[in-house]
Amino acid sequence: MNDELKYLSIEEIKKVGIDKKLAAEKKILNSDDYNLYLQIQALYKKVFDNYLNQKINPNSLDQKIINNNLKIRCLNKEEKNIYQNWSSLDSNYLYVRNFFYMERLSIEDITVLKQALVEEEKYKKELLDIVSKTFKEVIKVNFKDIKNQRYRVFYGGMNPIYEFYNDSLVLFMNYKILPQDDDNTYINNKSEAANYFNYLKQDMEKKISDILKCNVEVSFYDFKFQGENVK
Amino acid sequence: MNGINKIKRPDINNLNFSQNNLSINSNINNKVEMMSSGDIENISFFDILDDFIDSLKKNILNKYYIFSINSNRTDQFGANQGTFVTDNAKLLKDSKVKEIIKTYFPEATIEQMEQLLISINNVGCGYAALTNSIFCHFTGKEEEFEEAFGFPMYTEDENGNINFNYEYLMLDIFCFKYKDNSAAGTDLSPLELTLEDPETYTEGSTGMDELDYFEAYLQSKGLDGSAKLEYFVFNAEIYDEYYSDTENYHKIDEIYTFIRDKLKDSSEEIIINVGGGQFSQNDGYWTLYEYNNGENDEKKIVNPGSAGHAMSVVGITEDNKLIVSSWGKQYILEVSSEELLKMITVVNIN
Repeated sequence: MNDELKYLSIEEIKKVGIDKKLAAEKKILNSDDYNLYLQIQALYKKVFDNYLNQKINPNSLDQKIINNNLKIRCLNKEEKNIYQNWSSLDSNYLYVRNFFYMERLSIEDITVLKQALVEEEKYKKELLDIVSKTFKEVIKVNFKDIKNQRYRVFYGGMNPIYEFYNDSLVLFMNYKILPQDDDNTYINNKSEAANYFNYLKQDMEKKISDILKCNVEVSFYDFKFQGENVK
Repeated sequence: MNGINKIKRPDINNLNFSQNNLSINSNINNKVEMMSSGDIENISFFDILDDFIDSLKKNILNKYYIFSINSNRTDQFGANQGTFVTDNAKLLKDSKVKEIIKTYFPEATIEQMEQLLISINNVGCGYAALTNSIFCHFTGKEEEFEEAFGFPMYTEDENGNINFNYEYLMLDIFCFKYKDNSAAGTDLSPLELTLEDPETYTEGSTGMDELDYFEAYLQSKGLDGSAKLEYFVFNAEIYDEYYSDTENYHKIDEIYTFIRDKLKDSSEEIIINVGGGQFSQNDGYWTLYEYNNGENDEKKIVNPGSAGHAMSVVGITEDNKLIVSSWGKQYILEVSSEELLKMITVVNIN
């Protein structure tokens, strides 16, 4: 189990837009003090990523890349975006792109999370139960005034390559292509990686969806394509 | 091209039907504003006519009917900056693409060219919209297009399918804008930036600011014209106290009258730029309905806080839904009441 707690930024929380009124009612947000919200979210996210580690073995993707001798590499910490650096998945490539809305948890579940921040080991089983039962609601994008509808949303700017269903577990995978002396070899390596991942995508989505019993969308990005403030 | 301009502007006044006889698509459930025609010409290109009539049956005010003609990109409706990513490897092998880049950046390496193409994807909505405006203007004047820009408006395969050269024009406009300028927010040229910080570049221009470059671009091709921000609207409730004394400020409902007037003018094309504020999903949104063979397909919710986005306006329905071309597809655009900012750019080419 990965024990490190990783925090998303206050700036990102404000950008995404949580339900501040609901969060205040559930006493995880006090005016503009996001500290408790960030802590609870970090713990929830860590437990969720470890839940995925157990369920889907994300490291098997890394192994497939090595075994297929693709001419790609993973990103270093400076190259990773905020969501990849937030990840505790056991993979150098794959990470969860969803935001996690803590205000949607029940007061009882929030109480357990608060207690687990002090004594995590004691609440290990309860935490896993909470995460496995609630994550589908916690990761959803819900625009206000739009109820009981499924729709497509954009993670980042409005670009079809960042478009997903609002109720999907969204998994991103970032990689970079190794430079080559020969231009054609470089272009061919790019094409080979893209073709391989397009092929892999459908298989991964179906298998992970069957395991987690939720809608799953996987997307692969050459590092040069990433940049979520696209227009 | 064989010296023949195959794409002609259909004249809706000469068509033997009336709007009242057309079926109304229940999903849209609205009448559509009719626009006045361009030059009256004989309709000899019947595929276009069929599509045009079909589009009217679907309640589309099809100012950009050029985009709906049969082509081998069956799902394409206007320029799509996304092809610079989805077809990146293919474009890098295209000698014309390399030629255009080398014209402006003679020393560009293959990796720099790759990054430049990706940059168009990331910031390219404005360039796509301006490209649409130019294609619309040159409808029926393909020879003039080729003379001005140095490549044909479209290529035709052995089956007669037409493939518009949107990418060449988008690339040319983009390179022209940045040939002497640094990328937005940096001191680096698009090529230098590729080696330093590709992500920074994605936060740059949409191509819809500092529009003077477009006039200079047209002049470099021997054309006269301009693209000017002529109209902007802030949400009245929120912005009255801040912007009511600003020149060009308008109440939110007035924008639709302005759009209708411009759609009726065949010499002008219009581009809408929405969103772009620092606002979250709790502050409002805009919605795109994917328009697919006359059926409303997927509902897409766009968070205006994520980024601004420019789209070519094709038409408007009676209840003020806009028909737009975005990312090479046809959409119906609705903007929630909380949506904060809309700007209209008018493109005029002589």
